[in-house]
Amino acid sequence: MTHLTTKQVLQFVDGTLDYAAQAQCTSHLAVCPQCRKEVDLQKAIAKVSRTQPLVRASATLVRQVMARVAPNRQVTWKTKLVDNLGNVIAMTLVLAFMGYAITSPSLFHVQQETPQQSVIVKTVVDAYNSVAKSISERANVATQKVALAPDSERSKALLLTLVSFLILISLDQFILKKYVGLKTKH
Amino acid sequence: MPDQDYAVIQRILGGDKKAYAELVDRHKDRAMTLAMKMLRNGEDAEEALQDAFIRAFNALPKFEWKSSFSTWFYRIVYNVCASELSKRSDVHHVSIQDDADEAQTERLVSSDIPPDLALESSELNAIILEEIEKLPPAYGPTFTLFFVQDMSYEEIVEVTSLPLGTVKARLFRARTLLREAVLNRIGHIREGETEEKVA
Repeated sequence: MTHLTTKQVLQFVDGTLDYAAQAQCTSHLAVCPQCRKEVDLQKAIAKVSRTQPLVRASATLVRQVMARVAPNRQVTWKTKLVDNLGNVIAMTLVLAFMGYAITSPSLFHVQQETPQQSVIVKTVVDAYNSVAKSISERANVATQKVALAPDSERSKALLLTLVSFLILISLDQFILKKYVGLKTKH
Repeated sequence: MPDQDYAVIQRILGGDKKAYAELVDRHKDRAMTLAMKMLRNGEDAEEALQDAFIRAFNALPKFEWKSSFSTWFYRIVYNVCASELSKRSDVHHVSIQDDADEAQTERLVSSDIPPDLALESSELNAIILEEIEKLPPAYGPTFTLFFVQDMSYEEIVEVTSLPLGTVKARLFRARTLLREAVLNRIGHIREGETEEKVA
């Protein structure tokens, strides 16, 4: 009886023989205890080899790798300023405009303070307060989005926020001036 | 696992760098096993692994999914470890004799297996595990990639850049060496037991 070769035994164990060769080996193994023992031994070796315990990497490996690839940003006053830049700009513009509106009588086309002028100024301040509140709320939402944005998207998100604020403030000022103009004419 | 890897990699490429921790956690132990088989020193293996993970992260935008992430990543681990080995003075050079082992594949099975060998015994399992650790450095990585990483010959070729014939020869040689070593150990144990009985 011709026994199986070691190569055939290993291929049989791995299941990599073609159908005909597999059938031939199976037939031989049915009548050859020696080859069967060899197959069983190689199966035992393969089973243990596949289930051998893994070498555990240290618990700190993930942290060490992440510290290199995605370091946590240090919160400095500069970082805080950048993160809140939207709020800072919005509030600066609001305050500047309010200061200008209150101190410059020419804006309202009124030379002397009259009861009518006082009403107009109050209307302007009230209107601007609501605008300021609106800008502040939108600024908070926008800066939160910037803060949550991944680093690669951060610059883009910040730029979009600034452009949005500028458009928003320009629009609000336009409406306010128009409203003030109408009130003044009356 | 490949689908999970794909989803995580998409998140990383989308800017969520922190998601890389999932990938590191998923592959670290298998990769560590490979690094240990090659470098045989825990500290060096861990350092190489850290280096490999950082290299993989930086190269992730260039990863084209021509293979699975694990195959691609183990190639990086293998190269980092091979580079580390080349720096060592005691590097083990594998001779091209490896390929000649193919000729031995025609050897017929021998009758050296004890007829009463219990193949499911914990004693045999322990011996096999011990002898796996003793495999020569040239065969350890191929053996690990085949059995632990469950890679095909072609995937091992991709990881190691070795010719297919060499991969097959090394694996064949590793398995026959392991078989012989296991049977030798069992033979020695039985001889010892017989001597004790006689005494």
